[in-house]
Amino acid sequence: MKERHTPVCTICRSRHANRGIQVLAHVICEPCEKQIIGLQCDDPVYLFYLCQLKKLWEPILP
Amino acid sequence: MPGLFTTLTWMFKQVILLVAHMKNNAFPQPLSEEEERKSLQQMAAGDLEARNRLIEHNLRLVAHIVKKFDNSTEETEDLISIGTIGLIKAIESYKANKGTKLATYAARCIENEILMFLRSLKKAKKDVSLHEPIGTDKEGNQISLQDILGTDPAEVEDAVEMKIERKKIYQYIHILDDREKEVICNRFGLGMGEEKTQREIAKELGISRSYVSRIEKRALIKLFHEFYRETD
Repeated sequence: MKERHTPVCTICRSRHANRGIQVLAHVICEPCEKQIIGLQCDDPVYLFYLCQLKKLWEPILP
Repeated sequence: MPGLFTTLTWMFKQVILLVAHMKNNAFPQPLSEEEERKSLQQMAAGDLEARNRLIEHNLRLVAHIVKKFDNSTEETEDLISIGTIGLIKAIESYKANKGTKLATYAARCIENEILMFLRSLKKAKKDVSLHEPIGTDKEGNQISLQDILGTDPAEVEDAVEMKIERKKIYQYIHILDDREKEVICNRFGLGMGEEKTQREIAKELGISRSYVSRIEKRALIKLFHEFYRETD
């Protein structure tokens, strides 16, 4: 029951997003936040984060 | 030529829409100097809400910096996401006592992130294909890189494909929970290990083979879902 109320991470869709970043009605869980901070452009996972972060802007971009 | 015109019109439209949105106050307004100073102090004391506030109220800066790159061939949406990564890095690493204003520091980080990404794209474009012709033999037949690698071309291709497939799995493996990761790594010999049967994994983990099968299936669906989302 408790799990249902935990916000879902916009990046990895896991339900442990209590402590991460909360911006524009989206949440980014702590592990994903740490990944972002250490992310290098040539990292294969970079494109995945780039793609997921687009959702953050959906409420304000046309 | 019409293709170039369409592209330029589309890019121009994207920038216009972005500017219109900024003017229509769709973005959170920047914090006042006092609010920013207070938020920075609170963030330094471990207040996550203050950190979130600083990120949110500086998103406008990302859109502003992205405008500088409107002659780039990259989509505005992509540049905005890259800029957001730069902004998050900036807020997390900013030190108020270094004498630089937050906006100046964040703008530099956002711009750097975009420039680094564009540079990495240029580098990636220089990568060569195994099938790329690199010359011709005495009979005038084209020779590709895989022809001179000294092994059966099919074998080289398989090895390269396998490496790419594994890289793809590593790219998304973080979405799996610990047990799913363990099963997938053991099943497909990721890391240093060898491929194992479901029965062998079941024995190691002390669970039934059918349970391993269910975990494997769930993990593969999750991974497939992520691959699909990227190619969508």
